[in-house]
Amino acid sequence: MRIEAKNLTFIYGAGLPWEQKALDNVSLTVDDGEFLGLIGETGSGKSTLVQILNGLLRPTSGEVFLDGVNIFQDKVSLQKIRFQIGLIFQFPEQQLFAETVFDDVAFGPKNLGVPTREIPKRVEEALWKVGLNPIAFSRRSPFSLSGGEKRLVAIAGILAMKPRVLILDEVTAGLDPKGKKEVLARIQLLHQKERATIIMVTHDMDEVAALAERIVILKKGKVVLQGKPEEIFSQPELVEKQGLALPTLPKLFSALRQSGWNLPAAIFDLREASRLIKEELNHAAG
Amino acid sequence: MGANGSGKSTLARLMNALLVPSEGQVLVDDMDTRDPSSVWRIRQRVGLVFQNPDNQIVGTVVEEDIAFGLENLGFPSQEIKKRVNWALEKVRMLDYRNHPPHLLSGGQKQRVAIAGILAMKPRCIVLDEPTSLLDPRGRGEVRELLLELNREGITIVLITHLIEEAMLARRVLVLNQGMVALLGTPEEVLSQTEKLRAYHLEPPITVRLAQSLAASGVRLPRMVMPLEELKEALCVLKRKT
Repeated sequence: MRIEAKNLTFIYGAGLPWEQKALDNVSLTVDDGEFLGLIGETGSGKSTLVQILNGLLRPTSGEVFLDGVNIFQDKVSLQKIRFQIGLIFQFPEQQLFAETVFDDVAFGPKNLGVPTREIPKRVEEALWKVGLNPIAFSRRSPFSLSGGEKRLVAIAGILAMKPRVLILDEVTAGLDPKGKKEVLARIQLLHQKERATIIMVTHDMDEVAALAERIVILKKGKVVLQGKPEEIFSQPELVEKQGLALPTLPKLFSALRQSGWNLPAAIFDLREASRLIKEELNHAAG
Repeated sequence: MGANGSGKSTLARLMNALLVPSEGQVLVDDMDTRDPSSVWRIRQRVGLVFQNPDNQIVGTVVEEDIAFGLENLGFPSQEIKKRVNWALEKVRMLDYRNHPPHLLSGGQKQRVAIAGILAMKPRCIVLDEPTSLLDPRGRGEVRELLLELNREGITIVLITHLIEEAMLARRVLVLNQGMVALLGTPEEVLSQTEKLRAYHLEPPITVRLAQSLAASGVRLPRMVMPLEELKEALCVLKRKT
């Protein structure tokens, strides 16, 4: 699904003394099947933007088009939209509530009015998509699962509604490294195998560099930089100016370049990095 | 360090008598945490900071929040004022003393939470993943503060999933399924990439890069170095060759 946001402005507490402009004339396009990384420091407007994109917040001004349809035009389109854009909040496991994994994942499609006999199939499909075997997991309590598994169940709950776009807000925050890896691997598969359109909001630069096809950086409610990871992270000064850190390898390479090493700026692959450093050392040895 | 469920938070809570051991003993300056008459003195010496600052801030204004613990302990109001100002100064939040906490950034909130503990003048601060919900800037702020407090003589116990943070420590302890799996200097512990993986921890990219370079014959002084040191070590090598 293609998303087009045009001139979005959002003001919290308009007219009040603490009025705050969270978004300032933001325009943005996400192509069908694209994996977009949305980054920016705390308070840059990321969460406001994604809540507008799925119709939870109405912009003060500006428009959002999904496959050409203006979602804020009338009530009907807005309700339909919410189910097409799956928004997964921070700490989605806090929203798990049912007694079994099955019931939790079934909740969304039931509310959507999916016929009862189709529900088990929906649940099963959604669980497979996040890599949880329905036979092993359906009857378990969501609260007996590990941190990573809980999060995958929460994602399955959204997938069961068959959204056409998946928005993930800090989906790995607070997970241990193993849980992080587990969740990210699943998201990557969803993108590659299902061609899901994904918008990922994150603070983790190594994560976004590894997964996103395109990156948009927000600062104080404005889009300040956008491009492919290799384009963005080959401009270290610009990235740091936005209050963001570089991913580890580009950071090291940028420091080495400043000390006169002849290296490319944006490297994300460890073996490649190692090879290039070795080559430079050999070169210096003559 | 340790995976979710490895026992880190339990261990932290045992350190200031929020939990008492089923077996064994925790001594804080020779006081036993199982002795109810010592509990309050122990908690004044060992302060606990949690992951989510929103769950530990109670005041409607920053300075009230810092004063909360002191008021409960019955300190005279002059002393409270002095300590509140001192603690806020320490975490560089004095300018925000009249702010409502919910309008602060994550890093600022976490610094306020730390100031609330500092005001009790503890000898030790135990922090349970204090930076995992913060953005990179907030993380940096909290890290700097912890290093500074440590230089001033306060003992820091930091629970973290981030190896860059563990590298700042003098000693690193890895827990696995409720048991001590590894204990030593950062160099000794963090260079054991295979073991770390087995304990569900991800070895840092800098260590993996150093090991990959070492495997191809580059002679680095150590395997576990923060990024700046690794860069320096590589530059030294380049000059030598």
